[in-house]
Amino acid sequence: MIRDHFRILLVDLGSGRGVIELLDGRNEVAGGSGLAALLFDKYGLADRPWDDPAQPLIFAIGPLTGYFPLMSKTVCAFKSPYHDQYAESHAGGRSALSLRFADYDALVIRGRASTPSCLSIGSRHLDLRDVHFLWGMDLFKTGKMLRRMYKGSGHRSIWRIGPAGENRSAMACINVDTYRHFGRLGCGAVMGAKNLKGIVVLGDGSFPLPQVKVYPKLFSEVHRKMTDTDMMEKYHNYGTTINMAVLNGIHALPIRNLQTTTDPGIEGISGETLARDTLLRNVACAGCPVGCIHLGFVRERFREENRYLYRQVSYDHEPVFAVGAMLHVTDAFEVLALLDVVERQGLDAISAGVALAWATEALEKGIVTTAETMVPLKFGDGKNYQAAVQHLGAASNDFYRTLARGTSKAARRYGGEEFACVLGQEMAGYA
Amino acid sequence: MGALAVGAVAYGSFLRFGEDAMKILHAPRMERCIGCHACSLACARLVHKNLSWDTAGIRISSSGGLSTGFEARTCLACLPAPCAAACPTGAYSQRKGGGVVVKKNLCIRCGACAAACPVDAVFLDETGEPFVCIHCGRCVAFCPHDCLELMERAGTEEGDRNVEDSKSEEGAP
Repeated sequence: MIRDHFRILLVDLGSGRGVIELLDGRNEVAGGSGLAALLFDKYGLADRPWDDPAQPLIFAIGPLTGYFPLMSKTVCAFKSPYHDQYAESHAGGRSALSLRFADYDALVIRGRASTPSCLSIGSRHLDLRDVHFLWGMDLFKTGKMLRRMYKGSGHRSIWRIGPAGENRSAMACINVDTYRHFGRLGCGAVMGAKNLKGIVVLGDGSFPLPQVKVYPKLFSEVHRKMTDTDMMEKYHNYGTTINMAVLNGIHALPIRNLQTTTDPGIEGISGETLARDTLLRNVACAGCPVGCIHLGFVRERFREENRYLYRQVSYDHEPVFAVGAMLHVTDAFEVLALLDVVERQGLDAISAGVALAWATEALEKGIVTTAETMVPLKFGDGKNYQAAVQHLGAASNDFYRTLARGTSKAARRYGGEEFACVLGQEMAGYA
Repeated sequence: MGALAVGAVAYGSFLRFGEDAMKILHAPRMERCIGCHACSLACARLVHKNLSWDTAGIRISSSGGLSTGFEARTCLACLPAPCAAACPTGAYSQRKGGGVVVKKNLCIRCGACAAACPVDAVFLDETGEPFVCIHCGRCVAFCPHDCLELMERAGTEEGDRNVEDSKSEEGAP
């Protein structure tokens, strides 16, 4: 059962070796967040910058992961490129269960790999491989390659960064299993600074359970409540995008860089519209029967004679708010197409959308010109924003390089701080 | 509760031939699968007393990344069963109606069963202990989308498409 201590894998990317540490503190700190903070306290270097190779990148899970339904989140903790302070970001997918079955309460990564590398761990292996050939590759292609290179389909979790992380963008996320993310505060840049393109966690351990009746009974009861009652209805029905119409109705949805908080066009990207017109299916995080991940589709006609390709895009309230409402892109398929570009670059969708909303208003007001923005940004023009997102991920010029460090930093340099929708980092979707 | 009760006593020593005992676990509606692994975890927890998604009679994998859906790796109830024929010690013997009866205490961990299985439905843990579906159906009730069903051998997948999407009283975990 749950150990009275923590079992930590501490990896040094410089040598490609790891050590296992057994740490006390089970009764002192709560959950993955508590453990992550404990580990940062032990291994973090408060007086050195976020991209110092010795800084730890921490992934921690709580004691109940695996033992009960819904306990499917991993906490990523790091020193953030936004403000050079401690930060945490959470993701689901198969990350938490894979760590549990790899038999670690946490993974702590320090050092810097000598070439772009991928770290692979499990309950019986640890290896660091050179993957220089993946550097520069977009996130989905990287995922395809890593799935081919490593074994364990279904029982592993693959975390990787896109070009944004490689370029140390403060808006770079770490993508988890294609549809989930350690999204906020730039943990993707920390991986980039460590020359770490991917992490594959194989959950190949099994553990005996105590032979008592009360545990399986309690498990069944929790499982039943999560699946047979309406407790989780909001999440598996329309999902969090149900908030779009609700917030729009009470004038609390940030739209067009917060120039307004309600707009009839929002109906085009409401949770109801997304489900009716784009929803393909739902996916779950491993260990959670709720299935709140909503996958929409977008198809693209790439040749006149009815030749199409299609993409599957996960959507939630925050990404739809950020690249939809904030940029006033109010067509559901255009929003999904834009999110797909954001994903490929490995950007945090919230920050990317809100940053481009500021850039659009800055262009409107003449604070910057198209010499800086490279594309004529205009609220509602999804195609323009697709190009801009690519520039943001690639840090194509001085303007995008500055913007990628955070909207507040760009506003401080170019002006327009009064309309930068920033609360430390780019704002979330509630006005 | 008939099927579940029989399953509960079937594993480990011998199979009690109750009236539902010859039913077979099918995964007829995997297109609905969301990849929560509740079935595998339930099998490991309830049948094998493990916390695991490996040591289970049903294992879920994504068929080439999450974007292409999921498949269930589970025993297809072969009749005759190649794994039973391959087993040199009688730990696996032919189950009436398809699949195998497992007697763990006879197993010498040679792995011949796993090698003989044409669909990779037998999992060997790191000690070489094999794990296979015993068609007890205890996982069925944990699937939130009714992907799984314990059914008569005659059941065809085509007919299953018409099954209503409702959780039966009997099936509630």
